[in-house]
Amino acid sequence: MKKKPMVKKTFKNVLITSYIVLLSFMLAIGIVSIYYIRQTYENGSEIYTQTLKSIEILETVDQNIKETDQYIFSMTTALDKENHKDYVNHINRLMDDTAYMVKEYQNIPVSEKEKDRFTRCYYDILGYNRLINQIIEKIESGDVTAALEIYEMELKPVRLSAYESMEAVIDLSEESAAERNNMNLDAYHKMSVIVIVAMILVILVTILIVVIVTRYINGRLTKIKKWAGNIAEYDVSDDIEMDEKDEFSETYSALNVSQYMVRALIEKIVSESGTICETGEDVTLAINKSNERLENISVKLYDLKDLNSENKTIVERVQKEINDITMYLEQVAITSDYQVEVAKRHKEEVTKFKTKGEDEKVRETVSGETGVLKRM
Amino acid sequence: MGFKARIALTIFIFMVVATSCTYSGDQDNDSKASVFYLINSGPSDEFFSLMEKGAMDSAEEMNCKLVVRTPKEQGDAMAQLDYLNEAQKAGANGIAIHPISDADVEAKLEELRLSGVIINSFFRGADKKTYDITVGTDSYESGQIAARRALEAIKSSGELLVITDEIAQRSRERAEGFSAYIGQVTSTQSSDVKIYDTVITDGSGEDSEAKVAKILESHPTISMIYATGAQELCGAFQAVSKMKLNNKILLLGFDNTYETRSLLENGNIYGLIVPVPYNVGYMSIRYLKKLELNEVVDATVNTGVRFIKAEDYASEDVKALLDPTREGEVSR
Repeated sequence: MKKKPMVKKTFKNVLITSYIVLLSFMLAIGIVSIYYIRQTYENGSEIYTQTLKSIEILETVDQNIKETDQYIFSMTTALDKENHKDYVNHINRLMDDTAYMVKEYQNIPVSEKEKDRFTRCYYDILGYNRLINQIIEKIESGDVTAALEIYEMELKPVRLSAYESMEAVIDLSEESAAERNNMNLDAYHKMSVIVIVAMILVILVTILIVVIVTRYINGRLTKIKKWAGNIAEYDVSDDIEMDEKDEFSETYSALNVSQYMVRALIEKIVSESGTICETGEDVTLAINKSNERLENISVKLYDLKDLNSENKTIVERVQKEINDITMYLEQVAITSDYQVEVAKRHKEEVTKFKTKGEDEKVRETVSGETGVLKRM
Repeated sequence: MGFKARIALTIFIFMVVATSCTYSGDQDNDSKASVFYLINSGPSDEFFSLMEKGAMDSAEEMNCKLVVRTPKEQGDAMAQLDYLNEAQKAGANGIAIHPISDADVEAKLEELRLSGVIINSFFRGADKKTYDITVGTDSYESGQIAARRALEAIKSSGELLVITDEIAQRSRERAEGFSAYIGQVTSTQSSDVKIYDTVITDGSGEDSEAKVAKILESHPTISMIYATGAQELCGAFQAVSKMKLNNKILLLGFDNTYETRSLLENGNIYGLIVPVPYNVGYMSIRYLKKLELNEVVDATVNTGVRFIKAEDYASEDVKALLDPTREGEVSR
């Protein structure tokens, strides 16, 4: 089985992953939102083209029928006979307009039910127009009674049927619009839920990310804090453990290298201060011995009493020189003792540092490439 | 937090978002669908099938529930009473009925009306206390329309023969309306038109043919034969054809059947007067709903008849009106 390559867990990767999670989340919400906004727009557009436009057309047809009725009524009155031709022209224009409106309606993408109902309405309009022509024919032939009878007995039911069909088409259009409106409402509800859920999730995810990142950083910084605390307590024996390879590990490595250097320095100081003490003591011992000898020489010179004055002067001068040397050496011995004392104190101070015991000592080398300590 | 855990968290977020996307707002189903009953008078024929089709279309458009009930036998008034009881139990909001016998259902209809059920009767006057509204064709007026169209055809002079049956009430009313109109015209205008005779048949084509043939033998100067039903019209056509009087006698009749359509299509008859059963059914349910919504409507809704001349047969609207296949089959 192939082992899947593990993603390097670094602080950068943690932040990038968090960013990708939030970004994906926002993208998902954005895409869903755009989808619903688009759906709402399409519904609105369909409400306009299917409902408003169809109602507008049907209202025009309805108005045309009513106007035609008016002209027919006017034609049946004897006083308006002179204007019959104009009325007929008007009626023909209205019929043409109705036919145009019917064609316009047929271009509207409506439901099958609406289409079917409108077709029946259209057939009623055709029947209505035929009867209107018959009525005109009767009026022009002077048979107004027959015209009125056709109007009352035959045309009215056809017109009623046409009106009912138109009303039904309008009802269906309104129903369709209401359905679209409900879809918009549904989209609004969905959007509301999505936004609320998204807000809650964003808050939760953000809190989670903050907690994870804080814990992560705290965990890494705690090691440095502990390490610094150890140094404050003269303990430079333990290196910071490196469990994962990230930016902090590199810092740990650098700190471990510095600790290694400090440890080496301490060991050197301890070693060299010992040497200083030993040397100082030897110097003091040598001075003391020299002083004893010089004192002996001085005593022997004092015993030489029978010397002439010239020699006496020389002896006295030598004694004085010996005394000066002795004093000088005593000063040197005092200084040496002081230096030994200082060296001892420094050694005592430095030896407070807890370094690795002899058995724990390992050879440590510094990796030239990464700066990470390698234990061998 | 491991990488896998982060992936799992991302998937979880997507699932929550996706789940929320499937949420549908409160569905507004508070308006309970109205229940309407359509009760016929007998086994469905072409007329009633189209009427049912219209009623079903109307109910579908208005989101109503429609229950259609048809007695298995013609004239079974008791079956209609059972259907009314059923409608009452089902809590029907409205009933459209073609009563076989007013006497048998009158009490029940009155009871239903008092309990708030809207009653629509086909082919009856709405003046009775048992009905809220009548949606249908006025047969008497249809007879008058036929008379005027007959006068148009024969101009100012001629003899008319009326053929009707003794069973159907609407046939009698069509004959009465026809005769009344002709009588009115001849009494007020200088017209030489008269009804030679009114032949009563048993409702069959054979009887009609025989009786028409007998009259034509003795009186071949008849200008037009007016038949109040499809069978009478077909019988009259057979008689005229056999006597080779097609060019002399015009035929005018009622009802839309396969036979009458064929006669019209082939130019064998002058014209056909047809009720529009689809509209009767359609408007019945539509007006029941209007009444339920307390809309103000006329007590009588006349769906009328259409007069179709042979020359208009090819018209788009006429074909749609006459050809039942265009209306679709009724399925229950």
